[in-house]
This record gives sequence, C-alpha cells and structure tokens, in this order.
Amino acid sequence: MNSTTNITSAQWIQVGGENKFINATIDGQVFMVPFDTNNKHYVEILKQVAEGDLTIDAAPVLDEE
Amino acid sequence: MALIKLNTRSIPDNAVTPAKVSQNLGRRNIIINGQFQVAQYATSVSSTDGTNEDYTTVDRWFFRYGNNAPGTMTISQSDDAPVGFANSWKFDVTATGTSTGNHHTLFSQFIESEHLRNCGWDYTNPNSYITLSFWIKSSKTGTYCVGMDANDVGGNFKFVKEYTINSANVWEKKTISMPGHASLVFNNDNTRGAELGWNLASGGDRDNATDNTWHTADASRVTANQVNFLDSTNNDLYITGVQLEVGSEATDFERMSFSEELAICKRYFQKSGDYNQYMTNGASTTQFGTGAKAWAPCVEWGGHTAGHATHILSVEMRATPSITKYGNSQAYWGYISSGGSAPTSDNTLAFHQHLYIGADGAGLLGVNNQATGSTIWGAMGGWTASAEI
Repeated sequence: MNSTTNITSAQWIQVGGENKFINATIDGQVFMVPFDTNNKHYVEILKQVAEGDLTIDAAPVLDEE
Repeated sequence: MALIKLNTRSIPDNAVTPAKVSQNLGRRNIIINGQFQVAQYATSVSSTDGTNEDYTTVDRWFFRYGNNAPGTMTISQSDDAPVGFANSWKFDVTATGTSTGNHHTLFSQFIESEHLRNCGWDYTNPNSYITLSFWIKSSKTGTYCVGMDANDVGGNFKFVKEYTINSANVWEKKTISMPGHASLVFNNDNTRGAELGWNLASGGDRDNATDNTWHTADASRVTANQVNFLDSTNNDLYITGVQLEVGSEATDFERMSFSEELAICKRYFQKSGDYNQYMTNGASTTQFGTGAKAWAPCVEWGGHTAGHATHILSVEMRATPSITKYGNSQAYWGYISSGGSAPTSDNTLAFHQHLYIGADGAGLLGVNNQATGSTIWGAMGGWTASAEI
C-alpha cells in the first residue's frame, strides 16, 4: 500500500436530517465511518479533507419505494 | 552430585519471596492472538500491493507492502506449528519482488498506548527491559530484523534488532530484549502506542538502522543485513508463540483459551456471521452471501423519517467502529415491506441500496432507512465492525 490511505469516495449519511456517518470507500472497501476521533478511518478522512485531497459529497437524495 | 530433596515443610515460609520467583504468573503477554488461533477475517488470502493488505486473516495481525513494495504472497492461518501450539501464521511467496528505495514489507501488531503504559515496564529507564519471544520457521535462512516503532514519541523512534534463521524449515525460538530509553513515551489512552514489526524485505532507503539500538535518524526498520524473503517462490515462513513481556528474560508462552482470545480480539473486530463464516456478498442481486443474519424487527421504520433497529455488540470496542455491510451482489441489504399492514408469508424480501448501518458511541449498531415510502418490518444483511488501530 502507499504511505497514504486511498480514499476514493466519501458521502454524508443523514439520520433524522442530520449528518451522522460518512459512507467512504477506503482502500477498496466500503465503510460507514462514525464521527469518532479515535476511529482511524475518521482521522484519515479529516486529514485528507484538511489537506484538500478529499471532498465529502452531500447526502443521497431519498427515492420512493 | 548429592541429591537434596525438598518438600514444603522443609522450605521456611520466608524463604520464597517475590524477588526470587522468576515469573510473573499473572497476565503478562502484551501481544494479542500470539498463537494465531483466532482468524475472524479469513483463513487464507492472496496478497499483493493494494490487495488484501492491512487486517485480512488472523485477528490483530497487520500486513503491508509499504510504499507499494513488490511481490505476491499467500497469507494464511496454518496448522504447522511447534509442539504445544496448534496454529501459526504462514507467508508463502507466489511472485517474487525486489524492494528498492523506500519499500518495506512487513507484518506487525499495533499495540494500544495504555497497554504499554500500564504493563509495568519502566520504559524511560535504559536498565529496564521488555522481552519479545517467538517461534519462527522458514525455508529462507539468514538475517532478519524485528523492531518496535514507538508511535507516541512522534517522528521516527524505532528499536531494531537482528535475528538469524539458522536452519531451513526448522522451528526455532527467538528471544529479544529491548531496553527502555529516556525519550520513550506511551500515553495512557487507546490510540496507537507502538508497532511491533517483523520485516520480510526492505529497500535501500529503509535499511539504515543499527542493530540493537533505538534510533531516530530516519524511517528505517532494518539493518543492511536484512534478507529479501521475497526473492524466490520457493520461500515460505511461519511464526507463532509471540509473547511480549516485561523483564529481561522470556518466560513460557502464556496460554489462552480460544474463547478468551476471541473475546479480546472482538475489542477490535466483530462480525455478524458465525465464527467460521467469512463475510461475502451474494452471487446475484437476489441472493445473500455468507454471514447474513436476521435482523431485529424495525421499530418506527418507514415514512419519510429514518427508522432504526439496534444490536448490542458482544464486546465493547476500542473506539466507535467503522461498519462494512454485506448483502446481495451489490452489497445491498434486504427488507420486508407490506405497507401499513402486518407482514405475511406472502411478503418477499427485496433489496435496497439505502439501508445503511453504522455504530454510535454506545456500541450499538443503528440501521437507518434512507428510502422513503412503505413501512419496513424487518431488514437482513451481514456486517463487520472494525475498530482496529
């Protein structure tokens, strides 16, 4: 692996209208990442966003059943 | 030589003191799953740069081709082990590679800071030691390097020690003692305190360490004597019985029952399937893979608000875990919906992309329906929860 974790996508997921998780593809695996600064995936997302290497997309538009 | 027989009556009560007892008989191995008996991820994977690195087979054990290092190996839990052990971790080279530059290929275990802070090691004292012991076997003999990367110090602060595999394909026990250092720091928290790493290959920019020394010069994890284990597809290597303990001598390996070890491992990784069900997605859009479990009925689920169900994790995890869901071939979870009526046997399971699961700080898994429309009565799918360091 590269020295940098490869995050290819990130999207907010809302619960009750509030951002609650980040749905992210990290090194090829999809994770629902919580907002916890002891979670290594969340720490890496924050780092890459701060460095301008990652943008978190808006929450998905809900569709009808 | 005369033989003197002793019994308990002939030993004065004050003759045996803690200082004379060579072993700390309590819980002393800082390493988790040191006998490689727990493998919740998988029992075997083919690994190359970018594929099946990180945590992929035996619990708590990490592997990487650092800085895109070359080569391919099959990594597996093996039943080849020295007497007294049932399992080992095996590396079998399937495509050779020659590391250059800053490449480094290694396997390791990350240790929580608090586990080192509280283990009893007087780590800022150079006369105080922590001792690593392990059993290893390889077809590739020669000099290898193992070491500790002290993450809480900041920057580069690594101890590197050479060891030699003397005979091909023979189990050998190695013992390495590491001294404390005035600059060592281990915080009293649950983050990464140290990485204990065994090197398999390294490029020329990463072999500048000096044997048996803490160094800060660069990111080198090996000396220039490190062999290239990946130089032949005939090479394989096994390791087991890994123990890290306070003191200058190695004691007998501390045995753990499977259930004890599994419970400890679940602080870092859990999954919905049975122990030996390795999580997969289904083969089609209408099929589950292995590890899918019936979910609790979904309360207040449906309409235009996010509903939820909860599941209590079996062990409190190190941190709020990241969740990966498993379902049909698109990793969608299944659900039963019957509008406002109670479900019947006529209701079929459908799959939808907007069934999400995550974990909150209390260790519960929340299931969130991002789809709108009919009430959902139940959902089903598989999940893994990772709070690895």
